[in-house]
Amino acid sequence: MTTSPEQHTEPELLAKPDATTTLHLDGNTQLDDFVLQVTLDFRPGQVLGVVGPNGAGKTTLLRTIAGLTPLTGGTLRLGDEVLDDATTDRFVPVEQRPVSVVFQDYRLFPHLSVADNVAFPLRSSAVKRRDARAAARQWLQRFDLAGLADRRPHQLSGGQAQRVALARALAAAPQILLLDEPLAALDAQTRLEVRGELRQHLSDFAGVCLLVTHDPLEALILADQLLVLEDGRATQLGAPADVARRPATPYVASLVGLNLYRGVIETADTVTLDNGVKLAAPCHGLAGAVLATFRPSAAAVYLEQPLHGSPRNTWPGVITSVELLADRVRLQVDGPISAYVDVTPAAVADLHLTHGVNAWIAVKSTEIDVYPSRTPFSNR
Amino acid sequence: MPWPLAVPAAVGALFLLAPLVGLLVRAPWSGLPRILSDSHVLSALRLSLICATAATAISIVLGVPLAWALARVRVRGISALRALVTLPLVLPPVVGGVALLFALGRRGLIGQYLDHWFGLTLPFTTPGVIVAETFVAMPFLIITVEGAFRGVDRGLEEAASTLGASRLTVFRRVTLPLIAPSLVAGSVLCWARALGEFGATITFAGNFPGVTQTMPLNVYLALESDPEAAIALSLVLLAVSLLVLAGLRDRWLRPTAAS
Repeated sequence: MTTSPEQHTEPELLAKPDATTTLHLDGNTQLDDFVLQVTLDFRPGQVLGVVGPNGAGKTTLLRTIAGLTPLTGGTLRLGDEVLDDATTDRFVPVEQRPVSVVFQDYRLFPHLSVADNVAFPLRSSAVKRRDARAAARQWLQRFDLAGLADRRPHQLSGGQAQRVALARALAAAPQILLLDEPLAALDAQTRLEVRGELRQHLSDFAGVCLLVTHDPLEALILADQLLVLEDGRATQLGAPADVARRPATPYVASLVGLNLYRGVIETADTVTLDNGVKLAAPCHGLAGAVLATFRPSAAAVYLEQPLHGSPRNTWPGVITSVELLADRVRLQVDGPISAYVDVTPAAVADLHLTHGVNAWIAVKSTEIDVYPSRTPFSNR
Repeated sequence: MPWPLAVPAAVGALFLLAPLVGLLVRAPWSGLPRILSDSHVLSALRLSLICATAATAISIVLGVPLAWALARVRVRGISALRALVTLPLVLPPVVGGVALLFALGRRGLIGQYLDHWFGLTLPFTTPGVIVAETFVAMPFLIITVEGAFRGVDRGLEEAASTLGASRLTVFRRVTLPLIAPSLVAGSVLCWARALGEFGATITFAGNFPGVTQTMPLNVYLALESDPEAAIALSLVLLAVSLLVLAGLRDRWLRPTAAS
């Protein structure tokens, strides 16, 4: 009885993850003086991208779910099954959790061939050697690795090693798949190729999938939902497009390249910023604490005060940094409202815009997006 | 090379090599076949090989888990235990033999129960030789393997556990294969040390031809009665040592493909 790989992609030995099981985390993990505190439901079938600055707790979150780091408070449940409960001392050890991890450095076993690496999780369960080999072979075919089955990990390219690591993780038939910076170890060209493949494989995965990354582009491309972690707390959760359009914190704003200001609406269509400066912007009837953003390319630079123009917002500043981005130049202008402003290289040359130059900034009020400041996602 | 370094270096090298040269020069090459086919010599050689191999096997079975515990278990006093366990490395072997007598001898701390309950007497028996050799040689295996356990990438063991491997499976399928080169090196060192064991063996097991008289004891005795035979037997041990060294060079000093 022969079947082609297309008709028979899922090895029959492996149970399909139950697509209805949600992972619930409501707890904290303490490491020395760092505390990770997250309350979140991880829904199956979608990729949750976790972004945040270094030391924000991304890897700690992943290790907590995997069972490599126990909770110090609260609970972790998969559906009805408690994986970790700090109050009752229930703790399902890592090897008994339906979790697979793709580590940043892949951690392929150097003493085993590619085929034996992929067969490893099957051999660890009760699967017989012959059956494990057969199932591993199917995974290798699915990941286009059949020709490399007898290689050792040190004979693989970075992209191949990444595929082997993912195949090995999926061969364990996990209900939870955790990826820690899966593309970080690759060079730029390989990363592009692997990112496309990875997106395909992740969309085929029916369980809970969590992908830690420091690369915003990777998160935007690979994730269905984005979780922003800062200093051990979740500061924003939402669809990548929403997060990119309406950042909730300065960190997210810098990640997506927007100027972000916190303020309150005291009079109609005017945002009073924290330092008292007023910004004219359409406020759509909002009141109270708000955030205001505009794109760096929505601002214009003048050497003298623009007196008779339509932009409602003008202010003086001094250029403190000049940086060439692909086809434009990003200026940092400090003043009552510090902002990034994008101009063309030609404008920089014509106006001699360099470090220390005094300039006026103008932004049309219609370019400013104002939205409520309540953190869209609160973890309390 | 400055002469204050060159002169002592040369003297040192000569000092180490001269005895070996002396052994080779004085060797009764023509009489070798006769001496080595002597039944006493053959039985001593066979006893030596059997006992050293048995001591190495026991050292692996007991020493590898002990080395793992010393490298991985974090409890108070583990470093004191490490120091005590490796004490036989620096202990004069005769002292080891005396200590074994008082622990495992007929009236010894443990030996009296072995005798009383099982009718088991170790001193002056072939198993006694194995015990003495194991006591002296096992620390060589332990320190070699313990260092290797410390060097194992914990990330790989962690990865194995996320893939469903129990702690024993992780040890068996990841940790042990990763330290295999060091285990081989440690075993060879252990075996060589056991083969050459003299002091503890003669103290604890005595010197009975065919039962406890190993090659080194045979050499020592032969020196008084038949110096030519002593040289011939020494040559055999020298050859074994050179073989061990060659084996270690291959297994130990060459970087492994896995790392």
